[in-house]
Amino acid sequence: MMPTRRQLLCTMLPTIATTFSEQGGCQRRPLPFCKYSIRTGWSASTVSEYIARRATTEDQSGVPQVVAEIRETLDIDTDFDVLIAEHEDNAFATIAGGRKILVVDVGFLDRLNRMTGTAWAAIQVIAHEVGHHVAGFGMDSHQNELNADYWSGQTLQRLGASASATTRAIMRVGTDNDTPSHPNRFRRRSSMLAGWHDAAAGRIDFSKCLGCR
Amino acid sequence: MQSRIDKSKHLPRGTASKCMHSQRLVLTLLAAALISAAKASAQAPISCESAVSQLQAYAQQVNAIAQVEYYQGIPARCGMNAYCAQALLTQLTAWFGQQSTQINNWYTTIQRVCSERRTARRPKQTDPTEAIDVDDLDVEQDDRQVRIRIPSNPSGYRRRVQ
Repeated sequence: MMPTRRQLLCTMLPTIATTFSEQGGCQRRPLPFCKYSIRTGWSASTVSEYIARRATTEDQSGVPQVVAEIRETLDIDTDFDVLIAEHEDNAFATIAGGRKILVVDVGFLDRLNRMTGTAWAAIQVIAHEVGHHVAGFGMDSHQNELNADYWSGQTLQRLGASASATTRAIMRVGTDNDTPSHPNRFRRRSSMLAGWHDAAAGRIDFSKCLGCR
Repeated sequence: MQSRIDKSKHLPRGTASKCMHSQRLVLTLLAAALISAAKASAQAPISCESAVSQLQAYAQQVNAIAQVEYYQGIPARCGMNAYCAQALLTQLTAWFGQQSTQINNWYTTIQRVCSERRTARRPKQTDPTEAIDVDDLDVEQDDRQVRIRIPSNPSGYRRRVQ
């Protein structure tokens, strides 16, 4: 079996050696190897994401093209850096170095599509991550998630998804109870549906966005 | 001149060279141990996956050694002697860089050999009667190109492409 792209990241070792030689004798910084964190760069720490590549506008994954359509449908002009992760089973939005970043594990999205039986599942996840940037990042993580869900509902209705296809992914993989970082799947479905129905009625609830007023 | 006076004030004669000598010895022994382990495992034919895992393990050991040396070895040997620490750090950096180059070269080799193997094993498309190798099917599955698209219908059900 061929090495996966995750393993390919080891070819970045010369970068690591340079980092090490530049740090001088006093600074206490971890020596990086084979892991890249968008927060700390190449790192040996446990918090890291395997980033396979930065996606170009014509990326083979199709994610930047989907993001472009979402931007258009929401009428936002924000530029995003789309990073493709592998073997993370995750997608997330963050801000690093002043850039709005979307990290997406395409393999995970593909599995989610197959698990739920609808190709809207992947789009909902991407729209949710874009929704984080639209809504802004507040102190209440549950509210952040619900706001992002609202925007994903808005987005999917405008893109043509049915209400049931919009919420299928969260009902399939969401939790029954609240977790420290995420609300339970029922609350999240309600928020998505609120966004979906608002979009269908031509409304936008700007209370779901910290910086919109 | 100034730096020479400073050195003689803080650094007992021969300290730096002793430090460097012991550091060199430690790194040489570690490198020898790692290389002999790698050679031992390289003697038996192994799969591509296993070769990459072993290289990963080796690289992690290199990284771990560098960490220990940086945070424990050098401070323990040099104490507050900045000259000694700087000298050992330079050496450690050189060793780390050398290991990095070596690991990258090994990785490139593994990648090349594995690509060649894979190409050689792939059945010819012009011969439909040729038996399908299960391994080849696995490779295809692993390398399957995933592309995310916005569905064209509200339910988002996908038709199977034959």
